[in-house]
Amino acid sequence: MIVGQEKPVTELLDMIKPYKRVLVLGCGTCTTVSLAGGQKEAEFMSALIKLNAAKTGQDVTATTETVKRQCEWEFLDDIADLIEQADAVLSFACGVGIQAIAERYPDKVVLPGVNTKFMGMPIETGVFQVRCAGCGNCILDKRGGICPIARCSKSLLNGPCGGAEDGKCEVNPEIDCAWYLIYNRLKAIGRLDDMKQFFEPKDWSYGRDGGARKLRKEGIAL
Amino acid sequence: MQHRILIIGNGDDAAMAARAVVAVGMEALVIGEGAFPIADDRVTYKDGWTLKHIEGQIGAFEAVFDTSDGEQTETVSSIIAATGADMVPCSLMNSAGDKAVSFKDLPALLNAKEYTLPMAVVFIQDADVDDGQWVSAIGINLARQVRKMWGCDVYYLCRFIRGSHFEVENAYRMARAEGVVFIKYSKDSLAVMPAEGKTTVSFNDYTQEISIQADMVVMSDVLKPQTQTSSLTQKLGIGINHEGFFQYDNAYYPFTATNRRGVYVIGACKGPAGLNDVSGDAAYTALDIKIQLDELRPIADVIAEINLFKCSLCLTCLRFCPHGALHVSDDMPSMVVYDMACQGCGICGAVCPAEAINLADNGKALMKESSGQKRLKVYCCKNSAKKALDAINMVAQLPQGVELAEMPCSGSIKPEELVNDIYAGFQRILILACYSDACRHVNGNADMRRQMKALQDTLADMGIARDSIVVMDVAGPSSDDVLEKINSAYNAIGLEVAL
Amino acid sequence: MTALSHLQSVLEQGHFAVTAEIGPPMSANVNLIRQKAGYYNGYVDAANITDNQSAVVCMSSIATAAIVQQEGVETVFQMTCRDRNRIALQSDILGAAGLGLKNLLCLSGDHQSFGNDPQAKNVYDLDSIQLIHTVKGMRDDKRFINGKEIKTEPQVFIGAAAHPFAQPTELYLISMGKKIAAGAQFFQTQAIFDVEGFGNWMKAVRGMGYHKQTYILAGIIPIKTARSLKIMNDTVAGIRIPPDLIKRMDSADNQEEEGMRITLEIIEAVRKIDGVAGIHLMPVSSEQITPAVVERAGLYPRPQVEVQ
Repeated sequence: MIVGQEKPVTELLDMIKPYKRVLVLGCGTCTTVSLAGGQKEAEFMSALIKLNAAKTGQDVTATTETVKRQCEWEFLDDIADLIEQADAVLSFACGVGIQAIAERYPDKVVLPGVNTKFMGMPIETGVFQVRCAGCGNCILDKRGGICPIARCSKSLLNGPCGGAEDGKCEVNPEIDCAWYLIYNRLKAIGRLDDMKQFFEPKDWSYGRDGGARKLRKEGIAL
Repeated sequence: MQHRILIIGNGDDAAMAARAVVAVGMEALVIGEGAFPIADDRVTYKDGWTLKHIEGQIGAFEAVFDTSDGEQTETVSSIIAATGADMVPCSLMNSAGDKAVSFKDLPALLNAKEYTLPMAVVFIQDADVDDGQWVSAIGINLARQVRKMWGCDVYYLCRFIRGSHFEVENAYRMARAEGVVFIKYSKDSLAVMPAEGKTTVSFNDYTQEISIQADMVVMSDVLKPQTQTSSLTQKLGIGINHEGFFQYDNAYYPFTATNRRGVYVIGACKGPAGLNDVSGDAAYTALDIKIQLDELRPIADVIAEINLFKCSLCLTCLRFCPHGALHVSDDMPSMVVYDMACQGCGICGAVCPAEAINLADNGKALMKESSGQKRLKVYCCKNSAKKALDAINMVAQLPQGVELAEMPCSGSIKPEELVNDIYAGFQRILILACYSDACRHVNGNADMRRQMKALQDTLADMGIARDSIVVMDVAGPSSDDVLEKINSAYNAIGLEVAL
Repeated sequence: MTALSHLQSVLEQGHFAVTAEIGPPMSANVNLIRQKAGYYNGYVDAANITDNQSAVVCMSSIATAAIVQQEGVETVFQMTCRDRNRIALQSDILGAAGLGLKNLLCLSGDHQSFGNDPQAKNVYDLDSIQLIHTVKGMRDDKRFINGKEIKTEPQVFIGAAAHPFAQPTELYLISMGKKIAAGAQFFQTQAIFDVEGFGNWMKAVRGMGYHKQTYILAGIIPIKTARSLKIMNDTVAGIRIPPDLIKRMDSADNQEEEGMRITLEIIEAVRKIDGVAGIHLMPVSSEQITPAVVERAGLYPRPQVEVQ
């Protein structure tokens, strides 16, 4: 899932200052599941906006709605009237949803309520960790199913750096050294030879740049 | 309908559970490793089966087992864990020499055909820890047998005789009448050492130093949780205490019941306290199960309902529910509530990020509306604060600016509810929760405190005082305390309050 | 083919090599570099120039190395993968060769979070093993990574880092083997304080036969004070200092002298280990003590070798 984190409330209150009618829009998919931007967070933010307005004597109204996925126009079209009525949309989607609103409603101010952090998963209740860097050309087959691009602080492709200690990363002892994990796992599945081979410099063009990347799904795309 | 109860374990505790289950007309499915002492056509014993996981709720648990024939699934109405515990010798055994035996090993000696009759036998109870009533029950019994069979001097050293129920009390009287000498010793004074073919037991009895030359020393064992206990608690979705035994104490559950309705633990797997009266606990448990199953009905007036269209299957409710009452639907892209398991605490509703869980106002109801200026809003847990207030019928006398709401558990509070209260004009919100170790819903207090901490941080960032939200723990029987806390929170509005 | 580096010749002719580190200034102060180079002249076979070590901005390692060589001291210039992509790295390798730099140590580089610019974006287009492979390809195959031909190839003696104390040993030995296969000709190890542990590691290295395929220079940090020792123990990744050593320093009357003695003992001990081809001194901004260490270790004068 895409993991997000709500922006600090003061930053958001500052962001919406110029606007009187704010639509706080939750997203019902990734940011809901990552506990950052579902209906609960949207309602909470709306309540805070109203409270702040009352406190500071401003005339601000906040409406709350959540759509299934902000990153699809069809779902945004369902709430076209709500969007039209608002001076600004405070989106609790990831960066994709925010841009989808901006594209669908070219005249509308859209503001980010969430910092989009990474693609990851919950490792315990309320704790999420990155798993994928979206490099565009997966190398997990040779790395024991553990991605060094996403999980090594230096994205090293061939092996560990010298900084790890007791299997923990030099950057933060709470982070596992990805190469330590890879080594243990390859050993466990009897494929340690996988890491003995030399991995050529990676072709980053699959995933990092070249302008807005696009993917055509052959057989489906018109 | 014929009820079948799963019993996990094949030791003495499990046997007692099986007998009790059969005695009230139910069937037992027992799993364990090795032999099981009961042969009865209402008891099915599966040797070598281990529990993999359970689904479902009281009345219809689906239990999945690992067996030598692969995975097996059985439907059972209720579950009793009676896996026992490990008995390990107490630490003094190491230094005591070859004349020392543990409680556990003494019966074998008593039954042996050949032995040299000892002149003096010393029993030592509680050498390592305060072992609990079960030790007294076993130890006194053994002491009486030794006295009777060997006719020798028997000294019984203990720190406490714990006899809260009649059997132990009676055995203690009988033992004294039969000539067993009971001596209370102070813990740090005890030493046991081999000396010239005998064993010297020396100690202080609070008046003087005493030394006994014993031919045999019998020492109580120490109960340790089995290694499987911790994984079983996870499979069963029940609690574990700080020593690693099943289930912490919770005043809201009958002694053998757990936070998951229909799952019980009895005997040594609960720790020393579980051994006080296993047969009584087994009988009670079997009856409790039968009564519940014969007329199965929801336990709470209002239970959680899932809005299928809003649920995003994030599993947050599943992770937070203290009662195992939520599961992923087999045929819908949504979570579903087990209606017999849900206890209506509203914790799921407070954590659901999609607001997909309905529990009318998440279980809140007004007890008293404020009139005039809104000053203090009090949320009262119905397991403690509400009970305390109901008992004294004082709600109407509270100041006009106080509004009272009841809630099923403090864990049901959503941050935005409180923001709306402050928006409505309340200057302070007082949450009266149960003490965290007495929370009926196990983690409700802790879950609420985490959310409140985050909310206070957010409000503080906005320039709203952290003490706008005050959390206090109270108990149901303490009406005066509850009243005092409400009044002081009210009177201190505008003043600094210690949080 | 152009001439080998002095360092490579020293090693190939079987001499016990001595290299020592010079930290570039955090300014454009060239005199400071010349002064440090002056300490080393005649005392080391090559001076090793760090590349923005600990992710702290300093003068570039290549520029510093070029200045040091003007003073008559050969250099090993370090290159990390943290700050440059493959275009910049290859370009700098050519530039360094153009300036007459002949030894290159390929490193992944300390993470930027250790330095003064934790907000920086790291690059890591290549990792250190790929960098080694790249340099070897440029030199031996006369090819860039992209396969295009290089008319005049850079002549470089390629070095890499080894980690005797990192656990699990097998994992780091796999890495070392990969570095050798990629083209590493010499290794500098992390600092050694635990000689016995280093001896065990060397045994494992000999077991793999690595000591025959490459030159291993044992990393030595000259000990100054008990305090600096403790700070290193607590803060530097990969460094473990035996408690006895700290105790010994703590109880010494003259810490400076005791530190020197311990340093010399460690050098003496590692020299005796089969497969150790030299030492690499890391005086950590106390370059002036290097001549004394070399002299008292009996490693002065340095051999005069015929460069082939």
